Amino acid sequence: MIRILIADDHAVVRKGLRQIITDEFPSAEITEVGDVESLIVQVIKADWNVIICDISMPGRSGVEALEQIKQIKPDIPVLMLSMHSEDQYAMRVLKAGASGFLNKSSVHEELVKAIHMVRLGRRYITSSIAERMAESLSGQNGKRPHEILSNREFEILKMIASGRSISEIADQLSLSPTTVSTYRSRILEKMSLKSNADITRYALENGLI
Amino acid sequence: MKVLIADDHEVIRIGIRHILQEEFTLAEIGEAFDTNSLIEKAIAADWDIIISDISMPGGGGIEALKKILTQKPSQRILIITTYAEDQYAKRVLEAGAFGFLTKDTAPEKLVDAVNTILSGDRFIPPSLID
Repeated sequence: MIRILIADDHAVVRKGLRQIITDEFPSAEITEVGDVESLIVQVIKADWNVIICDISMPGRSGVEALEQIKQIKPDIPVLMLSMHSEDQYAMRVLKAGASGFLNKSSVHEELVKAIHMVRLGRRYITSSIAERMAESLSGQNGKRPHEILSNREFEILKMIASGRSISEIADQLSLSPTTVSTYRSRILEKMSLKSNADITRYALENGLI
Repeated sequence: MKVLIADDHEVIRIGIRHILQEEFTLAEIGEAFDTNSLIEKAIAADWDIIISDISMPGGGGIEALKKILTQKPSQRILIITTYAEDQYAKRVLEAGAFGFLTKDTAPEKLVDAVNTILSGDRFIPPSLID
């Protein structure tokens, strides 16, 4: 029997994932959680064959959750799900230890294949991600400015671009406003930008928000 | 009962379909995956209720809602979205939707909203009633 943990804040998505999985693995034991805190509790208290985790949940981000799962139980394969295009997040979550990255628009065809693959201890890489990886390796496609940011910097970049103030970001991430300002300075420097307006323009032009 | 579900993410269409089928076992359910297919299907057949996302390729749920209501003014449409209530609820209800729900809502609440709308009432989020 396969034990699968689904983490997504949207009940309709959890229901859909459960249905897709049950069609292929009728005897699967599936548990659903709706936020990162409950996800971490389940990771600590039980054993799972596969974890399926949304990348955007309220509170801490899915990437942060992934990093924590990998610290607690490094051997559990984690498949990350996103509404965003593969281009934006795939490399980031794969580097953080995910066994695969799936876009919610193609999840029906990809999820079952991905579960079979990661249960064998392998990673599930879609053809478009593989192509992008190959391009990076061959140097044909140099890193774009946001790709050199750390996960935390990238998260803060997206929040600034969405119009959040330093104090709002500090509250949400449980950081001090000074620390957030330091991250902001680092983002501007790394990306050769000058202002929050530049950050917002960059994020819009690159489909980050 | 005939229900049309419109969402560009198949996993969400499957989720909504499954929630409805558990409650309304005889429901006939159709699916649309973008704005144009929603408008076409909404007009080509009669539906007791349409459940639609806001963000879809080709214009989106609000644009579709307006076009459908021009042709079928009494069509009952429930909008379900990832956006927070305060961002969109008022706008979609003013545009003629019968109800508004966010996707983090519990499955029972979706069933409740469908039942409310099928009985002829509007399903208004509590935050808008105050």
